[in-house]
Amino acid sequence: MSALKEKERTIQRPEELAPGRDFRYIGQRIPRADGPDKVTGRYDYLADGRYDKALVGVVLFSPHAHAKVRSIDCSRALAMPGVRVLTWEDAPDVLYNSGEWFPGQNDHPDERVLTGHARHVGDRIALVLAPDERTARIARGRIVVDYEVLLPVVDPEGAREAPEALHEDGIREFPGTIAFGDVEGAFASAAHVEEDVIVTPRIHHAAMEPHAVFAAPRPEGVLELHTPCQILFGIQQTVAKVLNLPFSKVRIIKVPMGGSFGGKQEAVFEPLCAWAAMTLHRPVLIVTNREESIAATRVRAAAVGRVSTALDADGKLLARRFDVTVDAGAYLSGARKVLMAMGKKTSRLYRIPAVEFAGRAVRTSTTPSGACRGYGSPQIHAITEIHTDLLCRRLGYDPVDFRLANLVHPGDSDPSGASDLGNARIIECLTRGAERFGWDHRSKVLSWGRWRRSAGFACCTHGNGYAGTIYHDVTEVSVRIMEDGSVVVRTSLHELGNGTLTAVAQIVGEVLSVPLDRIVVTEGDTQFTGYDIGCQASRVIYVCGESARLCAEQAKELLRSEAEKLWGCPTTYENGELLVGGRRLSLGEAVRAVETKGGTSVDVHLTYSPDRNPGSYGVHFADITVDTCTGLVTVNDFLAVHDVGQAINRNFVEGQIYGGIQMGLGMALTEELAFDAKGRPSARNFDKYHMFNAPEMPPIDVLLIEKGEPGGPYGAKSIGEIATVPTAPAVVNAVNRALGTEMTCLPLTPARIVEALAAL
Amino acid sequence: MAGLMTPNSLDELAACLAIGNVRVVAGGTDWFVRDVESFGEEDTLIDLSGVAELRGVTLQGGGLRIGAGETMTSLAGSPLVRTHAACLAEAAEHVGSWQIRNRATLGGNLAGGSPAADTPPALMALDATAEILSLRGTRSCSVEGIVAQGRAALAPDEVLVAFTIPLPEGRISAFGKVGSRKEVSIARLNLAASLRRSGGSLSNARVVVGTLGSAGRLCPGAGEILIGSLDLEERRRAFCSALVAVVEAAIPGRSTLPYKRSAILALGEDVFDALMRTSDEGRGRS
Amino acid sequence: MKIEFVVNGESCAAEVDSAMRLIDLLREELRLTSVKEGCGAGECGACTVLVDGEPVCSCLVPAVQARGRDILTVEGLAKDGQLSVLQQAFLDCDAVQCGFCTAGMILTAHALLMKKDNPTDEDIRTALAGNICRCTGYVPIERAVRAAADRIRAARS
Repeated sequence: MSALKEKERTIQRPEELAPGRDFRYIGQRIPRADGPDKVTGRYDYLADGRYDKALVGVVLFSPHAHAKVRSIDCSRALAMPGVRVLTWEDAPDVLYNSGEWFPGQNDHPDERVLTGHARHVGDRIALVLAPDERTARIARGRIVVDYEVLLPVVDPEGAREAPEALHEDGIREFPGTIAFGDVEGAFASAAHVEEDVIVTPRIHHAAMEPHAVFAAPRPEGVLELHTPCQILFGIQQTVAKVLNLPFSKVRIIKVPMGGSFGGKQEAVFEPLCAWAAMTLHRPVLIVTNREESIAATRVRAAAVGRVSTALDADGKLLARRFDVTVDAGAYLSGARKVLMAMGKKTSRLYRIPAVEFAGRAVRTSTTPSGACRGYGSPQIHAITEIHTDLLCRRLGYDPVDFRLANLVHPGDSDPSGASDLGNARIIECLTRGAERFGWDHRSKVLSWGRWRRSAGFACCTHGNGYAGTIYHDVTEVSVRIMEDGSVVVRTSLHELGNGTLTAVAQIVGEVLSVPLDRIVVTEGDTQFTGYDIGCQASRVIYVCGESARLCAEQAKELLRSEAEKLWGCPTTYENGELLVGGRRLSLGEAVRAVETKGGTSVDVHLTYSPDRNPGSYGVHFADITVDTCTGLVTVNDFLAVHDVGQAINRNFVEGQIYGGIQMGLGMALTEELAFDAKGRPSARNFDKYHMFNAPEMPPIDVLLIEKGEPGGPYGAKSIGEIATVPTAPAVVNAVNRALGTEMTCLPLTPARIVEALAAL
Repeated sequence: MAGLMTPNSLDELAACLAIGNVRVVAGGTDWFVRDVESFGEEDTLIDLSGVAELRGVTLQGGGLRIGAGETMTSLAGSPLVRTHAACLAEAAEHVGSWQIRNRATLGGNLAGGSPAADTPPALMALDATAEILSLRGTRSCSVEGIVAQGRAALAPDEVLVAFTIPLPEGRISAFGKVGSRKEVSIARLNLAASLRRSGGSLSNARVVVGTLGSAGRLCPGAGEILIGSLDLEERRRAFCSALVAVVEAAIPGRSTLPYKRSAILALGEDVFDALMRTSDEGRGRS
Repeated sequence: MKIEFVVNGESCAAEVDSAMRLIDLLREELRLTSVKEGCGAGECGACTVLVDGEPVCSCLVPAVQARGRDILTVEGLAKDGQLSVLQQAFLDCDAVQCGFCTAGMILTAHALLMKKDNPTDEDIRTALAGNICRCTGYVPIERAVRAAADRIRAARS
């Protein structure tokens, strides 16, 4: 392996990024590589496999939101053949934070693999293992637990004021602030000050595959763990911490995943499974069903945001002040990070000279929150974009004109000190979108019988990795051109179902002019693929995709230069062949010669760390009808406009947008995991947790703005998370416009709409 | 080990019932989700899906006879049901998903005892009678009577065999439902209504609201207004007001009252309009 | 109890009891793991299989009710390694993302196309109402079903 060490990299010039450039693969509608297996049912997820000598584990979950276990009687379960039970009394007394993905991040640790002090319905008390799932579930039903039921606290306000903190650490809240500019002065001199409080719901990710994980002890003290996760090395460090093992002895392998949306990003069952396998010296497969996945994994954090805006007499933004409370749920997990991510967005959509963002993550007796598509971005944009529409209405501003006067421009910096915004095309998104959608006529309110019809829109931004934040952003990739000219790209990527592997193959194929069916892009295996900080933070295309492009360029140059050395005549790389002197050589011939005669393989390893983190931008437009008697909202039509720099795969980009809208529509109208005073979830399964199904979905028009983003592969930037960000506020703005209401509590359920209408 | 039996006829079914501690399953849409919880090791499960006599939609002696094992899909697609019991076909068409409609049976929808079931209000509006088999023989009972008794209406060893819907001359009917989605949603509120028209006059109205604590509540007041002498617009308004009064009387003080009081207006309008439309079409044809 | 039935065109026999669901029979006994359990409550459609041509949620059906029936899973759709028109359309329209709902989605659509070779858009959406997908927003799935219907009719004429 000849690692090219130089960190120098070429950022593509704008003219290279121009649309209409003829690409072989970039921007095309290439079918995903795993498609044939998926349509024939051959793509096996973890729970589809059979594992030799393995025990199948089901977790005994607390039925109480807050309780201490007085005693547990497992005798009837243990009487069953092959059944084993591990309880919290057996478990290591190691505290960890499931949302910490790098050692030394010092995310507050407050969670154990099993606990005798249940802090939410679904907290983990014991692990019941048997040769098969059915037996394990029957055995679990035979365990008798005596609980001392304690008073739960189901909302953050209650938790801040309760006589006793919920955790022994005594901490009630985890604060965070971001501030720049003269906020005091701006509010003092403002011509107008407007304020709203917006409430966003707790949401179940609803990846169709329920959580599962497999762990096995291997020779030489190695623990091998198979998981459909998003951050291999984050899982590795958490498991290593719980088991007190060196990282090198913890091998994490990414396996096929039936969706995640952030729900499989944190270490939920992995530490427990790893510990059980090591303790029992047996392979262990932990499986869950939907009810367990809803109650006992992670949710999108609910948030309450108070936002005040100071404006001058011309409607220019002077400053904003935020007070945001994020419901962390039973454990802190990633909730404080979500809070800070919300704050980081507040200076990147509008030109705003001063911001004061103060917030806190508060633990309650509810399902822990964590990463969820957008990582706080849907919440903060719901807060700001619903508020922006309401302030426009109160002050008599046109919502399009008001935004156009305040939105950021390409090349703007971020006054908070974070990375520059890059080729930020939000103004183009809004103007072209408003025209395409027919905003001027659609935004009028139509009224007939019991129906009202109108439209709404919302703008948003999201990031592209971690550059310019407190986190590092590092990825490694290897490209090896093989002896037959085919290519393997070794990465620590995670295919989440969004087509990442195929997209990276397109990038490498574009550089090398190699047919895509001769390129394999691997997923991660911590013992064989390089470091990567994870498929999170909308960094995969912009950071990992760019690293693959650079690495492929280096592999190409390595082969060319080695060939030139070998044959001693001018050599060029053209259309997937080498031109050596006047002679054409296939890649395979060239690689074989370089290896046999030149003594080197064509295998390039690259470590890459981006120095930019531009914004992606988008605007969603929704045309809706409300039945004022039933409070049911029909979404008639939808336009999504996204500044993506350059689509790598048009199908995948559109697919992310369609799916993001499905999630966002749920956040706007139907999806909410609420808890009653006893801490019991409002939905145990999909019968009471309604997502948008096919008949509810509107037709969706997609308009991509492709003006190239410097630093991204062929000018590409992120789409997967931002796709869901502006949907909910667009719909809420449409409903408020149609009805003349000022609803700010999401989702706008039929009952809430009827209530708001009654109060008019 | 719990037992399992698969009778192929009513006679075999009767023999199965005789062994005691039995539970029956037809379409099974509630079985593993809800009912299996109370199924013991000593119990025996009887699979009704093979019993031929539980199927069939036929005109018999001036009535429409529907086997209790008929699925929602077959009811929704049956020309006989569409013609003679439109509200039942409409109710069946909007039960759950296609997958559920392919399994869920008319008998099971009633026997399940859910207050949000969609076909019981339709059966009540059509004045249907159920035929019930047990070791003690066959008895019949109005659907109205079964709904009134809730889940206690049927003993564990009693099996719904068929429903008979009387077919008075000139009857029309309609059904409406409010859920949280257009398709695949449990009813928050549903409404079935039937009436007779002969010449220009309307009579024999039966209006049933579901999901107000029970699977069906007959609303005689609303029925009277439906066939009363007010002009169309006033009648429509009065009909809706009467339904609001029904909701208010049925669930006073409940947290769901404000919503249901509003939503019933939509159902009232839609069902009223559907009935009057059908009524006009009928007149147009004759 | 021993029952006999047909799966993907082949005769099968299996021992079932009252606690066994059709999905358990297919996944555990016959290893037809295309049949996915997404909710276990008949609400998501991932476990959809066709019984005598009709889509059902195999997580709700007692295994004993497979007795004498003809069952189709997605493993039985491709003939001689050749994808069905619908499977190919799912690939062409990018109707697959994570893939977990795909088998159930394809089977429901297959049943629709067996009944209606020229379904309306509303027919397609209503038929798929019981199959939840969290990835695709259904848009490419509906396109794929429409494309398959067109191709099947075109091939016939």
